[in-house]
Amino acid sequence: MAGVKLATVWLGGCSGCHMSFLDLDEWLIELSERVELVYSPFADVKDYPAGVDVVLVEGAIANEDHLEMIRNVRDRSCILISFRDCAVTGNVTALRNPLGSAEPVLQRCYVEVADIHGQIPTEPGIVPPLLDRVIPVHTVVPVDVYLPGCPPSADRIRAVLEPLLAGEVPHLEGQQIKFG
Amino acid sequence: MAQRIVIDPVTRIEGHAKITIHLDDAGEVTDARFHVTEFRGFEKFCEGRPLWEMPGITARICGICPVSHLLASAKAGDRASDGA
Repeated sequence: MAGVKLATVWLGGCSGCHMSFLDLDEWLIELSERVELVYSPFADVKDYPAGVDVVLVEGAIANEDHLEMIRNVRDRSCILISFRDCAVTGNVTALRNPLGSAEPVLQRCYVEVADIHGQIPTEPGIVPPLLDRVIPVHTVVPVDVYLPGCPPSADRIRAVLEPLLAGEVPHLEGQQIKFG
Repeated sequence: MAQRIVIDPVTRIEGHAKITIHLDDAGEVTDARFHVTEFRGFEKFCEGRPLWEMPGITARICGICPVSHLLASAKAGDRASDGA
């Protein structure tokens, strides 16, 4: 399956899972011979392309840009992997949910503890409004494969990508499906 | 004609951002802004949580530099509990 079109997307998360992806070390060389990385924070592509075979989606849905992005990603990708705990459950990104809305976190950070010019940033069309509740990826679009972990180890990422490249459905069990 | 150039997204950084560059009628730059479009609110949602959770939670501020956040919160915890 040479020339598999691979993408990685980063929504509401810390990028730790992308760092874990880089921890694949020398296997990245083998991977690079079998896939074409068509979209990623590691690359400089601005628009998500059509016809993606496999996409790793890191992070939860936390703002309106994420909602638009994940719908685009779903429309244009064959296999969507919910990549890490934030994508699978909301995890740390969703820790603000018990506060009820986005307002308390914005107020605290941008107004109450501001040294100067305390105000909540707004820039229509540029700065996306936060959703009141952070939600996992599968609550917005169908997910094909779940890859938990915070972050998932490089071995676990490989255990999902290798079968996919061989045209098989990955099956994680035991230690591989542990959260955290 | 006044124009706005948008760089979206800014790639190869930790975090999500856009840059807007505002030009006047003569095509000269009048303003340039860096917009942080990702926000999670650690400053608020950490309040009231158990002290021992802080190194684990704050390390997730940034997957590229988790150790600095982990150590800072551990040191802050030591200080708050009068241990250092």
